[in-house]
Amino acid sequence: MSTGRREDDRPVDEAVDQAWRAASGEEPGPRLDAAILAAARAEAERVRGVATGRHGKAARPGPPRVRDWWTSWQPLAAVATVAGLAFILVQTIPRERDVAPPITVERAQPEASQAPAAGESRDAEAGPPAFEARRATEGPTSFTPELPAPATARTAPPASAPSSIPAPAPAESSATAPVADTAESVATSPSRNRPAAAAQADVAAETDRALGESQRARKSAEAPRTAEDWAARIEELLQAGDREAAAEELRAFRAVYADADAYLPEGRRDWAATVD
Amino acid sequence: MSATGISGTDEADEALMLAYARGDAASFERLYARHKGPTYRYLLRHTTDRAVADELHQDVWMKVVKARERYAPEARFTTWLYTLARHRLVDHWRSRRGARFTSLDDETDRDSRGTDDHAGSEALTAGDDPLASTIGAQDGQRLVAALAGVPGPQRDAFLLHVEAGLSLEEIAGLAGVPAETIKSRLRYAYRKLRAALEDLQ
Repeated sequence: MSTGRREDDRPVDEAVDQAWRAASGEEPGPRLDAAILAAARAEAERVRGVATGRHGKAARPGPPRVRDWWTSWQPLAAVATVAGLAFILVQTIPRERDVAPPITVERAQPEASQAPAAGESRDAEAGPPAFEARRATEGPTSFTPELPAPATARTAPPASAPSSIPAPAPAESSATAPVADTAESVATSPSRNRPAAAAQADVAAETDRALGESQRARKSAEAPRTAEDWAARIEELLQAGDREAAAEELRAFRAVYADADAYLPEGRRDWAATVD
Repeated sequence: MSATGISGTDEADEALMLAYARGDAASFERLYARHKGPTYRYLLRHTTDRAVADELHQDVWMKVVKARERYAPEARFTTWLYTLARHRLVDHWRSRRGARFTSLDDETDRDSRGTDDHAGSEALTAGDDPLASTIGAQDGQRLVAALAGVPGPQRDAFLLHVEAGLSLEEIAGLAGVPAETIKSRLRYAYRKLRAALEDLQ
């Protein structure tokens, strides 16, 4: 019998150890051994393959590198996307020619300006040209007031207006009258009974006036809609040397904005004071 | 680094493992030949089922294969190997829902306190004990059965000591408990097995 302690003070019982080793001798089966060793060999082979590939690429060239589909087409797709966005952007930017009214509408202006002239008050006549022009181009249904409400609507005569005032055509309907109606109205005007030369002269005068109105209307239609834009436009005209056009713009500006002069640069206010 | 005494060769386990990490399959074969029996029996004694032991054994060694690149010989290869085996055992028990979880570290396991109460006794004897020489195959089975009745932590300490050949400190480091605790566990396991051995007579 020996004591049950070793050098590291570990309790042992050698009899038990011996008996245990005699009794416990199981080993994993050969199939299990083979499976584990096969896996280990395969892994070792892979490690060697990687090492060989790392150091000896020339000896074992890999398969030709095939570029990914997306990698190949990526630059082209990017270019196409940019081009598409640029096209859309260009299409959405408003241009001046899109804002200008067509000539057919301009020719309708004499009728539009003549008919209300009979029934509209002075306020209506003094209404901002921009408003009138837009009314002529857009018609009553599509008009959305952005500027102060025009006097036309407020001063339109009621149905029970005095009979001394000629029956006015509704401003909206006259403004949207087609060209054929304009011609007809000209033809059926009082000048119809005059001599032909005088009638032609009247028609010519009417036409000139209508053209002038329409040009003003077009300019006004092109006019800026905010006070700042308006002031900038006046400044632009002044810098271009077109003082007359600038004065006209200022008048129109004042018609819409009572404090139009305040929007002008300080250096232009002296000039604005000269514009009546 | 330490050379293993299991196979009697001079080359250390750690050197063989590093050689295998570089792609030397023969090193792994030698390593496996050294440790396959002890690891298998360690798992078998804890599970008492050959099929389960086969599965766990394969898993543990496949982990060794997969982890070869991460292996760093900071500790003995044996310690690392049985750490993997213990973790696999714990995973196995946890995965078996409804089965009794056999803790390898829980000191409150049955009968363990009684062991500590007698930790200071010098009851363990060995050497030319006739019990060891007279044990037969059938008696060996009863000894193995007796170990199955030993609580998990004590059984684990005994197996790591007898099968893996780990020192007290190594077992303590692996189990995460003080060396004195491992010593108590070992005493308890030996006492139980000694009693079983005496019953065989």
